[in-house]
Amino acid sequence: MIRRARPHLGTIVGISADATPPAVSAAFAAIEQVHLLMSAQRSDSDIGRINREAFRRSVRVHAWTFEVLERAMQISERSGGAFDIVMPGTGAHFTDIVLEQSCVRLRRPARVDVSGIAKGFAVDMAVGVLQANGARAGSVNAGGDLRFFGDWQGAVRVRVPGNLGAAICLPPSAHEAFATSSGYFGASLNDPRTGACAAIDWSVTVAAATCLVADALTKAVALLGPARWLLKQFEAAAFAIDGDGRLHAASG
Amino acid sequence: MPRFDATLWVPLAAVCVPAAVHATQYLTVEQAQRLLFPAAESFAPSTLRSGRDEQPVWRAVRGDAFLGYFIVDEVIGKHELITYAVAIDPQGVVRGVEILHYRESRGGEVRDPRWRAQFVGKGPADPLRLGEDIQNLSGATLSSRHITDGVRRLVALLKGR
Repeated sequence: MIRRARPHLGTIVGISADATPPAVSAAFAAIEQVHLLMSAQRSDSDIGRINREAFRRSVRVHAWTFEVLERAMQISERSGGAFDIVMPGTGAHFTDIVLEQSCVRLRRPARVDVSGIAKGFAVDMAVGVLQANGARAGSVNAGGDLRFFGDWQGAVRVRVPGNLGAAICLPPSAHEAFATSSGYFGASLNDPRTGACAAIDWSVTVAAATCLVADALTKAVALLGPARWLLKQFEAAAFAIDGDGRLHAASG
Repeated sequence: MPRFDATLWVPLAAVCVPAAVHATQYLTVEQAQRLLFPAAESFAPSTLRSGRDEQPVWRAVRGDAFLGYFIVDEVIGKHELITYAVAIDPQGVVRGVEILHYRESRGGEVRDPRWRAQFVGKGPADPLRLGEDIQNLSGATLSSRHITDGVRRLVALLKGR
């Protein structure tokens, strides 16, 4: 088994896999490419170009970026806007994004940020690359986004908000992808529908078929609570750890 | 903003485990050297000096060709201690970063010299148990910011030569 970790996507990405060294290197290369394509901080990324130019002209983007935008729009629609890659402040929403044949256009000036979904996508891509290169089992972890494949087994632990010295084991799950959002380090959450922003003192973990879906749904569940109508559409389950360290669950 | 509403959820009996201090050894120095400079034939130890700063480095060499610097550095974060390796080419451009060793703390003790002292001499023999490894830890806690800062420091150190 190979174990490697590299700093990417603003976190430490760890890969453990029953795989060859080139397969693991290829998986890291995919993660790095997601970062280069989709970082909102890089002016030369697809997202940087969208934010700069897509209001004035149609911007051609990489197939991976297009896929992330498409999936993001779908989750925005299905969550009633509780998940939105358009940042509050300009009055624009996901409905102002127009996708057409690998090009992106904005109906009004807006700031797009896919960091709430691209990390999950990067983990999914890495798992795909590992499997395509013959890996039988393994896990990819990008600080809060975690995916297993093959017969890899292990309890998933989630930190207790407000008590970083403690963690809680999630019950065994049929899902392979997990994502957690919380205010662990004073992080706050925006409500894309109102622009309101506040800290949360509890954490939400979503288990789903892919990390992209799990990643996006954590934000929606943090805002809406464990909306069964939402979880059901994605065959997902949600777990919450409250400020007192108690575990709660919900599923579709 | 939503307060936590327990009535919407089903309570579960939770197994709360201490996030015990644990460590993960990813690569040895030799493995990282081979990964970051696959073409190198040898790594010659050397020291870079800039003011009072002294940084041990390895010079990656193939025949007469100087391929770049291989540097091992350590950063202490809020909740972790990370040993990493960086490859910097002769032009001063970062060619790769690999985590060698990651050690998680339970909070404040990273600032305690006694806590830090326990890493001295720690190596690949650290036990690795599935389920206790950071691989299985979901929760956005692993910051790479300190590594970025560390790499920036090393690049600046090389530039100042």
